[in-house]
Amino acid sequence: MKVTLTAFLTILSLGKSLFAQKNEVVNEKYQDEPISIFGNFIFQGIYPGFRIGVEQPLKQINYLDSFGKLKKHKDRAVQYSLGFYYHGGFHTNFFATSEYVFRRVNKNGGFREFRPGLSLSRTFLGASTYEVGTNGDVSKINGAGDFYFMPSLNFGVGKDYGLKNPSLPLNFSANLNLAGLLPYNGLVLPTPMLEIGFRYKFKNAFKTSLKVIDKQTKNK
Amino acid sequence: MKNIIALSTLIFLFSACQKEEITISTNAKDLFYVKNKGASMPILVEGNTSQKAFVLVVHGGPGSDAMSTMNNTFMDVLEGKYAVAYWDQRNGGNTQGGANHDNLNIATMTEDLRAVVLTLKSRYGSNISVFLYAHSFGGCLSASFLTKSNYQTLVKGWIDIDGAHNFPLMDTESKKMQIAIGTVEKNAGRNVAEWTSLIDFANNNNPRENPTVSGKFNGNAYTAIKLIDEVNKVSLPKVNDLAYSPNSLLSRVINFNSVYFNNGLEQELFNTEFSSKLSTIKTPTLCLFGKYDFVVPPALADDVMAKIGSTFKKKVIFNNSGHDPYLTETVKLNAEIIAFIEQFK
Repeated sequence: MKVTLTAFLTILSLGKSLFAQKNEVVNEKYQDEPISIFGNFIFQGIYPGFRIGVEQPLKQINYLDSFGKLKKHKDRAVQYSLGFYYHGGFHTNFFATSEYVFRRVNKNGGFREFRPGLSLSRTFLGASTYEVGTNGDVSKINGAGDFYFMPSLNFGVGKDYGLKNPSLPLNFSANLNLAGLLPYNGLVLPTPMLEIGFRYKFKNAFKTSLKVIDKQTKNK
Repeated sequence: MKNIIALSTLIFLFSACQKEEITISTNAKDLFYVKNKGASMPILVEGNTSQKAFVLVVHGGPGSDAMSTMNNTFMDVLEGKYAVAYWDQRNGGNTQGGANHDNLNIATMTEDLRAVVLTLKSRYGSNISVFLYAHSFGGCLSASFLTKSNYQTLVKGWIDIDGAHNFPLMDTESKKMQIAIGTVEKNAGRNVAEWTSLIDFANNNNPRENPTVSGKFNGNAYTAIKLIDEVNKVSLPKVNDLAYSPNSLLSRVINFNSVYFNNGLEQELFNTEFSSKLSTIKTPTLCLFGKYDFVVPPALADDVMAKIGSTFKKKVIFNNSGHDPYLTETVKLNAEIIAFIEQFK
């Protein structure tokens, strides 16, 4: 068993060194890049919602093949958004969210992304709410609900049409957002959401400084 | 300033969305919340509100729910005659809230129950008659309510269905029952292996040792009920949590675990008993127990009958039931409840 494992690891390391390719930084620059706006339809189970926000790009690493042709790029960005979903009778949940974006875009514009985030949430209960004083008086509470933290892990796939057609900087994506209301009766209320949305980059939008790094494949 | 106006407008709009529904009809379906000490508890009133008699479900658990689990076809007859108020207790069912484990105790839950009764009276009129429909842990909570201050004056009757008003007594009687009935069943050659396991555990353990052992006896009690042929078997239509809007399936799951995540309440219940205070209860009382309830044995009904101070007290044992006679002998149980309410509403 030990011999087999050693042989396997040896072959693996040999193969790696024989066929290894190295990405070298060939260019690094800062450029002004407009922020994107995005809007997502939300389905918290069967309960609908929407959120809208902006994405500020931070860093883009372009991976080029040995001929200088783009293979893929990895993006880092932050998103700020406001959203809500409506679960009739239970609550309507409004939330302000900040997410850090890890995105990998292939040469055809298809992408997958991972966005850990944190929201501040305020729920509004789904029906009229009362409280009772110590003397037994019953009174109605307006805007009854609770504040929660809402951490989230958002996984998505999509298509960037702007990669092949720069005049159309439009993205569509579908995301699974594993969020939770915290603390919820001392624990966390899972609040999974399916999101389907778009992202668009207006040329004249507010611009931000983007660090662009080009890495090119070099045979070792 | 603009932001403040916008925010105020938004809050106003969503306050307006929290619509007030107070229906006086034979087919009401009103939802509202009562907020108390960090818990926003939903109450769903269904049925006939026009008769001014309200059956308030004090569900079991703790950590279970009324709006979904107790709201099923077995309540249809009661809803036809009276209004049934399904209240999800704190840290149970669809109750929302934040970090409120410090308030998860019998004293606060007793105040919750008072708040719910007072809110019902505030909405539907101070002249309504409220009857506590208490099941299992709800029997403990309602005993706490009825023995506190003058709270019993707020209700017209106590329907105690397999109610656990005395946890130490419940533990010891459950052990006795598992051994006694288990031995009879084993000797009769029915489910021998299963009964042997339950009897051996009961003989070798003391449920009063700690809440964990007590919990194990509780689990075995549910197993024992399933082994009794005389207990009617039921199949209820499934409630679709997704389609039933005020319900949140995930909330129900999380809340059930929330109660046991912090063992403060479990520890408190382990030593909770209201037998010593039952003599202060003057409220008409109807005890409805399953003959084969190994979870909350019928001996607890005997304890209520012996010690309660009520002039009217009645015990009914359901011979084909375990812990849930409302499921297994629905018609007979509802008939007893209707006769009771008609007498005291």
